[in-house]
Amino acid sequence: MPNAITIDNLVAAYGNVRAVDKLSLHAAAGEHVVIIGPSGSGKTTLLRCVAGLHRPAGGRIACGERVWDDRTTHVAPEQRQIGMIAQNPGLWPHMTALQHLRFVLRCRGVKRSQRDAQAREMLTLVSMFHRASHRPSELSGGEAQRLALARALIAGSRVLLLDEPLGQLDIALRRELGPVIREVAGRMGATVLHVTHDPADALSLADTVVAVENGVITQVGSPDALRSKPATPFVAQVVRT
Amino acid sequence: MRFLWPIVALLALLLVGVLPTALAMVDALRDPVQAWAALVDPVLWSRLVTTLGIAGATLALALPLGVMQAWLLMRTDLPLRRLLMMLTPFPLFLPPLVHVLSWFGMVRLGGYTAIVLVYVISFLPFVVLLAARAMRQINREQHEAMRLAGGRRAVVVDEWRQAWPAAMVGGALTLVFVLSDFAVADFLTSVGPSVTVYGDTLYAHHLALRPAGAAAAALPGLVLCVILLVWALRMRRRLGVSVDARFEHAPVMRLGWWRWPALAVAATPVMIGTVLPLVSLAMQTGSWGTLAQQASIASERMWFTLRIGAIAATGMIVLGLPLAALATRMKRRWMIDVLVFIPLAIPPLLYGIGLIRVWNRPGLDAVYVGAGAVIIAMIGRYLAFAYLPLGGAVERMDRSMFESARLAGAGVVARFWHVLLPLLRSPIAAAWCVSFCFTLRELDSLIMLRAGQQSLTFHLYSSVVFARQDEVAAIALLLACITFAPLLIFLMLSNRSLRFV
Repeated sequence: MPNAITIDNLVAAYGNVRAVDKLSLHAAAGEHVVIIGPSGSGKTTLLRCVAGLHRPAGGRIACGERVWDDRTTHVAPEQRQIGMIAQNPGLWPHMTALQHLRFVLRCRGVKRSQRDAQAREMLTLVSMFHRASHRPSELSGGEAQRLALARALIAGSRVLLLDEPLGQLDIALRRELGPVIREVAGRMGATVLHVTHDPADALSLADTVVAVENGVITQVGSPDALRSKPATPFVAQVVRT
Repeated sequence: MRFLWPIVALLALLLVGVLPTALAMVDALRDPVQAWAALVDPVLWSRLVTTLGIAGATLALALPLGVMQAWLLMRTDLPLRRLLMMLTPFPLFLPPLVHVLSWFGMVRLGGYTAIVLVYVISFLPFVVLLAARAMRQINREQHEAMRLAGGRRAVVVDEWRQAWPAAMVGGALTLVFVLSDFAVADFLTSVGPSVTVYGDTLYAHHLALRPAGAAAAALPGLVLCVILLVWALRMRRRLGVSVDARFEHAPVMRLGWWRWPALAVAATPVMIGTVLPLVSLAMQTGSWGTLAQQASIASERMWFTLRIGAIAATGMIVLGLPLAALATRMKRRWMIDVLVFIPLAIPPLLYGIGLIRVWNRPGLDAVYVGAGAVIIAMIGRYLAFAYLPLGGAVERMDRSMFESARLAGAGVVARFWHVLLPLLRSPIAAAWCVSFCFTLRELDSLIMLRAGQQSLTFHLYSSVVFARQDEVAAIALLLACITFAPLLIFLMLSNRSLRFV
């Protein structure tokens, strides 16, 4: 599978503190994996390792047949062809929505003549066409996250990393945008690793839910499996909410 | 590739700043007897004490005045406060020699009183700018809590207390500049009672061809300046609390009827440091004819000064930006800070000697005799004033913007051109402008270099001895005009005040 993510015995540390401890995980191609866990359990570090923004202290990360990280290999983030949306979407304040997407296409080597059409098509897909000429400071929180989603997907990213992308939005917007992300990612056939604190997101969007506590996986299963047989008090609390 | 530019910049910094300093100090080891004699010479220590006394008196006036000025401009509803804040740094960019020339035309002051007053006028902006920076970081919650606890009086006392450490950092920078200056003392001695300062001792050793003596005599000043600068930089960083997105500025204090007298108080230092020198020099010049004649005589020097100033300022940006980026990634960033500040800490005469040691070699004549050495001297001396604002701007940038660019597939070059540069356009323009203006005021290190003697500042320095007073005033006026012009253009185009310390 070209975009299945395999993580074996991943170790990530900040100085002497291990944020992720021998964690293994497999996400099949096109699967939407939701990672839940209390604050400080290593969820964000796990995503940053997959993105290549944090270099693991040990273990192996591969996408399909290609090894991204192991003892001897480290593929730079810009060469992994992944999309990532974080709580802070990191939009570029000096570019309009359209320029954001054009820039990504340019970085990916898309011909100049094709960039504009592709960018507009993607903006339409995330219902942002009418905001094409607006800069991030002129967008609402929900629009900014839609733009971040478009940016993450436009390069044809087959892997999408979502780090609480809806965390700063109100409940109504979260309920609206969650399915949009799921639908657009599904249409692109992207494998999604989605970190969230929101039990509703976890149970409604996921194909598979992974519970991480203190840097180790405590339970993996479908939302139904977690509901019926929670393995830890934390998971029980999440499914009860 | 990611570390290529920072490493090249670091090597350039070593060549431009550290190597000349090291070679100049090595002179002391070549003739230990001469060096020891210079070091134990009571004249050296008495002049150092005198200079420290001058600096102490300068700070005794500048610190309270600067904090009050900053408070009026930042924390009250003073009329015209934006304009006054914009004009505040101007006196800093004029050589102290221009200040003393302009003041001497109005008031026949002399001796140590005059030198203290000139230094207060010249370096007050350091204190005001840093204290204003501290006051800008006072937030609404803090202000309201203090107001509830102790009323308006408590608010004012608290704000002054918060600005005080930052003002002390400005004081440290003032002290560094006072220790290295000798042109003001020279002028005052030429027109009135003798004023001798620490810098004169170094120059005397140099004129007497005692390089080991000059190096040894520079040692106490260098040690003192390094200690002061390291302290100031650490303090500056501790005070530089980052302002997050939720930050709300505290409301300014309403002065009511008092705002008009307060305006007079706040405008006085700006007028004295910026407007009056120009008026005084214009009056001393007397006629357009004299100004035009001096402009014609000095036109080549003027273009030379502007040209090398522009090149040097560009060099400072090219060097300062990667260094700033490197420093923000380093755990021990103080190491880069110290390297950048060393040429500012060393007495400029000795730095000039160091440049001669580095570049006066077979095969390097083109650099040493030509404008190259002058450009290097200017970059070395004032790199700190490009590095500081650029460092602050890089530090304030949101890391996630670069991470998202990386994930979008942008390589180092694309990130630099399409993300970093557009976002830093304004700080880069400000840093360039400040660096350019500082290069125009440089005199002390240029005296040592052959091509440096073609600069307008050197022309002014030598004219003090040989030319008529109206001619000297005309040259000083030209220098002031070419210094202020780019600043005014920048401030009008950008509609922002200069923040560079």
